[in-house]
Amino acid sequence: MTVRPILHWPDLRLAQSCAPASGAEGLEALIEDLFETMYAAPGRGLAAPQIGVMLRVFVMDAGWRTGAPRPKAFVDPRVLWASTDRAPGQEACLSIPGISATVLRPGRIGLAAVDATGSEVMHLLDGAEARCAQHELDHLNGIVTFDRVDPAARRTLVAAYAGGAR
Amino acid sequence: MTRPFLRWPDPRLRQAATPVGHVDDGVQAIWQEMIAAMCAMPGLGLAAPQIGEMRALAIVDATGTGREVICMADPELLSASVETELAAEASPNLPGVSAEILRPTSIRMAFTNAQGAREERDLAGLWARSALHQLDHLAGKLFVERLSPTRRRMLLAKWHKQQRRAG
Repeated sequence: MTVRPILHWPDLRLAQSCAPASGAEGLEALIEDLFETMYAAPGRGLAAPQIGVMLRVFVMDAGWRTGAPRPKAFVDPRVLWASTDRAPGQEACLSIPGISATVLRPGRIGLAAVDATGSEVMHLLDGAEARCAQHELDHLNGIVTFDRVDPAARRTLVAAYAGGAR
Repeated sequence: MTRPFLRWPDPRLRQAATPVGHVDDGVQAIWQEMIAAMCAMPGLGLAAPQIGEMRALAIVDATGTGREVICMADPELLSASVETELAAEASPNLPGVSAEILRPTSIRMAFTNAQGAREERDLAGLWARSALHQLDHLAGKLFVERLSPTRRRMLLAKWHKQQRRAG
């Protein structure tokens, strides 16, 4: 288990789509590293491309900083359905440190994914978990929070990010 | 006795329906009228504004028999599958033309049922498609508004041509 360096926007790898991961070599080790890196950051979710591994894998533990840990790993996740509501929520990103964006997302989703042992699992997610999973899933498609806000908000956020001391 | 279907471009087809609230005898009578009108088409569903009744009432029966009708008041879409499919849709308000419309393959809806209780139901395939088509009517939207501007123009031109020929 290793804490890996996290890529920062605008690293081009954060704008790329990832490849299917089922059956990839070293998948279990990758998932362990993702958890290790996420908890060390500290963060609530982390996608493989954020550590430069261009595979469709992410991990999350949406509530560990306030409640009991609930680590979940997702391999080749796909959204099967989404609720029609659109709730605004604040989203921070380990690849865009210091910036929090207001993003509209469906409040509940049905997600199919392969788990760490290779079996297909259906996840019904709501609240913080639904938001977190959609944020991480975006990473697998080369999308970050900047891409989920209107152009004016994006300009403001990018300017704030560029102005931050890093 | 059923009212005739409004003819496009009747402005009422572009109006949003008003909420129903309580299901009373008046609502039950409108549902019965709608079922008769749907079976006469024949069709797989109907929304009240299609016969000029501007309330949020719809019926769906994907069997096309009129024997398995779901009566809905104040229906709302709760969730929709990401998977979609294309299938032909038509409307008695725009007779003689049809178009392939992309819709989610399955949905979850909430509505007030014929017993007056709020109900949640999962619908798939033609049931989902018809329900979504009716929801569009209640929002003042005909299926043609789901088409790209070019395809919509072509379809409406075809319809106008047929109307002239018939008239």
